Amino acid sequence: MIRDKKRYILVEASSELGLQKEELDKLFKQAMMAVVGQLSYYEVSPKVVSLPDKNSFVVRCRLKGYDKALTATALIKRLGNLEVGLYTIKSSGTIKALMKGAKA
Amino acid sequence: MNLYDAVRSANVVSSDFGRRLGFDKVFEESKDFKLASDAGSSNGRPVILKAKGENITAYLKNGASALIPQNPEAYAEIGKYAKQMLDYGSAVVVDVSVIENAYGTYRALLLGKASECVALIERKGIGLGIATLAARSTEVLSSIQLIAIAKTLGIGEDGARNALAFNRKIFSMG
Repeated sequence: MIRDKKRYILVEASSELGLQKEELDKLFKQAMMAVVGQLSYYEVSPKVVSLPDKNSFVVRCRLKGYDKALTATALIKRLGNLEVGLYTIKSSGTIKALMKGAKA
Repeated sequence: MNLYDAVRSANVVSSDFGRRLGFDKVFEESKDFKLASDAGSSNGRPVILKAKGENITAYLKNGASALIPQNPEAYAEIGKYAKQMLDYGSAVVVDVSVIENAYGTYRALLLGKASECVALIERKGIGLGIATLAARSTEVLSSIQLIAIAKTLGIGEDGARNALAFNRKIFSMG
């Protein structure tokens, strides 16, 4: 079976999130589902993989749904009760390259 | 290619933060550009297009740099003014903050009408800009996100980059 190609996106929030990874992952997936819909959700398959600092996090998505993931992050304005704006700073094929570029 | 954005409120994006978001410069309303408040003041300024049936001809004749539709009805009106816009050299700007603040079926309608409008103006050869026109920090987007939204509207990667570069021509005139 051919493995799906993934894309890692560094997302920065307009304010401090104050959430644990699991909680953020759940809220982000709910928000993503509301924007992309049930038909495209699998194509994106988003997952929060790490939180480098208090107001940024790394999202993994399928390469196929990369554009939809970017559009969705632009349109998400609320994570649970928190009103927030999300900016995608950088994206990469590997998490190592993403973090390397983000620190530079 | 240098990319540009425009915002409605000062201090939403600092120049350093703008560069981090992938923009060479972020134009601010009242500092870098002014929106036309009436037809007489529209020379070189962008015009907010809200109401259906609003007479835009006077704005275009006075040299408005661009029309910025704010709702699905306004996007549908653009077709009526296509010839005049070509004659007077006006462009269309997609205000992404309007799409961001919409929700559900209204957002879907807005995206649909905006993509129809974009297809029309690309066919006619009218200038196109895409800007967040953010009034709050939560409405600010990076260049990568604006390009992704442009792709959703049916514009290719090159077309999206051209639209972000074209923002300079629209927002540095007023």
